[in-house]
Amino acid sequence: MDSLRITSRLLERLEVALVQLAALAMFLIMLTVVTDVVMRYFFSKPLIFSYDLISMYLVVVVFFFALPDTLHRHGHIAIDFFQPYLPQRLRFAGEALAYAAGTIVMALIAWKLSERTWIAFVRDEVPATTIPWPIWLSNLPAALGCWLFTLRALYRCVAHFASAVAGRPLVELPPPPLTSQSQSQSQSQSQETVS
Amino acid sequence: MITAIVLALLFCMLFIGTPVALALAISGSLGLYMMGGAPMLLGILETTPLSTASSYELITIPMFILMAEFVVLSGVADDLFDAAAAWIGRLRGGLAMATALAGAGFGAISGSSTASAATLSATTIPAMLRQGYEPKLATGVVAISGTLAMLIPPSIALILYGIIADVNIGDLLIGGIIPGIIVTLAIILTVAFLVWRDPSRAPAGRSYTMREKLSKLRVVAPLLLLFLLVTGTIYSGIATPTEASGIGAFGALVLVFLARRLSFGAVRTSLLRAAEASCMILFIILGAHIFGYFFTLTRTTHDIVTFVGALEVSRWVILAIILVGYIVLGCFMDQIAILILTVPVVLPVVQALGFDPVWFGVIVVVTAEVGMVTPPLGLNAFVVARYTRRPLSEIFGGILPHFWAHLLVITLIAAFPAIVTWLPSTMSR
Repeated sequence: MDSLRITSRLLERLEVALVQLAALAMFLIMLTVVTDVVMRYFFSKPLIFSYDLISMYLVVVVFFFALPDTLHRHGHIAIDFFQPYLPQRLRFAGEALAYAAGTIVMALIAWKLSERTWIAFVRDEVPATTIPWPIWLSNLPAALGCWLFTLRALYRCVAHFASAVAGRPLVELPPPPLTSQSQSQSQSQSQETVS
Repeated sequence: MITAIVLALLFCMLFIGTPVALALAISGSLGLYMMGGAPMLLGILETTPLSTASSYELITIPMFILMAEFVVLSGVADDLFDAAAAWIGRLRGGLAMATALAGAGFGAISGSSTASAATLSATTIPAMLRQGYEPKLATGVVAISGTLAMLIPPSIALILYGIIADVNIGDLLIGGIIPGIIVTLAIILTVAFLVWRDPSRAPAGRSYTMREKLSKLRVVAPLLLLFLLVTGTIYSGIATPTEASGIGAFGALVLVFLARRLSFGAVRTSLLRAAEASCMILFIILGAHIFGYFFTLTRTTHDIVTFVGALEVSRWVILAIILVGYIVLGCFMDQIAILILTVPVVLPVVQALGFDPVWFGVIVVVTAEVGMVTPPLGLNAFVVARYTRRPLSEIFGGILPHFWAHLLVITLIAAFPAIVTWLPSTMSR
């Protein structure tokens, strides 16, 4: 099972690198919007590139570069209310199947986005806007983010399958859902620890 | 048949805990493949991700989330309660009423109700308990006051509704102001009613001199400025909601600087948290778009609208059933997931019945507020329990009177749509 752990760690390095860029893009969006508004209202000189810069590149980087890391950190919301009531093997098997399907769908998206990126690059495509920025540069972050997400989903599929076979968790699990029952239990445990 | 298979698959995946976005994308893809084969599926998978993400208007969500992160980092909202308590704290139950005002104030500069509940828990509950407030009353009022952030602009929930329903976000945000004030008043009146029934629940506090009161108001100034920067610019037409969100995030960053809490590490953490929260919402929107293409092809929504239109029942009965459904769903599901899964189907029905989409959006969000505090998945109650280490049964007990008051407010807003629609109609465009 070391191979699973090593794979997860390798993926994590890439995910962390991408999400840092997503955070940077977020900061740049804020600065661009503020500068644009200030320049427009106080100097009547709006940034002509702000709309394209944000919609073509920055928001794409925020979304697609944060995508795999958010999956890794269990940040994509799920309805986890029923999970504790499912038999463990059944739950792992179900998740393995769901992630297998997720891997296929995300791989298809990543493949089509890569294809688009390549075609845009070869044809040197530019949008019909004020500034002819390259389209392939807008598609590339989307393809990269989706490929990394696909790899994380594939890892989850394999790890959940292994967990279903072993009957014990061999995959990082999300924190248990907060329900009135679980919260009361954790409170009584912490009170016992204190006393 | 295809619709039944795809819906069964979707619900199975949701049941076992697959991320909502992924479940929507997978089931939608299967449905598209079954209906139109590989060419249709690949065509949609190729275009949808970028058409979802490459949107200037979409940055409203990440920017308002970032603004909420910076507001929490700045700590400026921590003193809101002190300011409100100086003015009404001497009344019996005054600190609980001040909590509601602080919740509304926090809501006016942040769209995150859990962040609001956490901030209020840390600042208000110790003060109330020290003064001899009944813990049930104190914790209940904090949990419910935290939900005001969902309604008072900037509200992430209303923005999300606007994006899903293709309704003007500016109208929605401004439409949330008066209902937000009404909900705040409802919380205050509920507290007043509770202490009138049993005065031992909350003693009267000390009074403050006018100088003390005025000096406490100083903390309100930066928050008021931030509120004006965001909601004021949207209302006056100076900025679009998208621009206002960026200005708001920057304004909150300036507050972090003024509070001397600006550091590379803290800002980086806020940016990372905001990036992940935004990504989570955008991924759900992407999944919903893929599923939406399939659902449109099935004409299910059209069939539901036709079916409901043919029913010989008052439209108000249908609305009541829908709202009860939202309250029940709120007990088990996350509010964002509820909006994504239900609005595309429910809104066409509601519009076909002749209701206003802006008004309906605000009502849905007020109903979602109830879901934030009802067991077994009342997130705000958990936040309060975690911060205060009080038993959940006590917190849910304290919320119960506010639950009934919320139902009255929902009825009031449903009966008088102008409560929502009037203010947006006076906006400069």
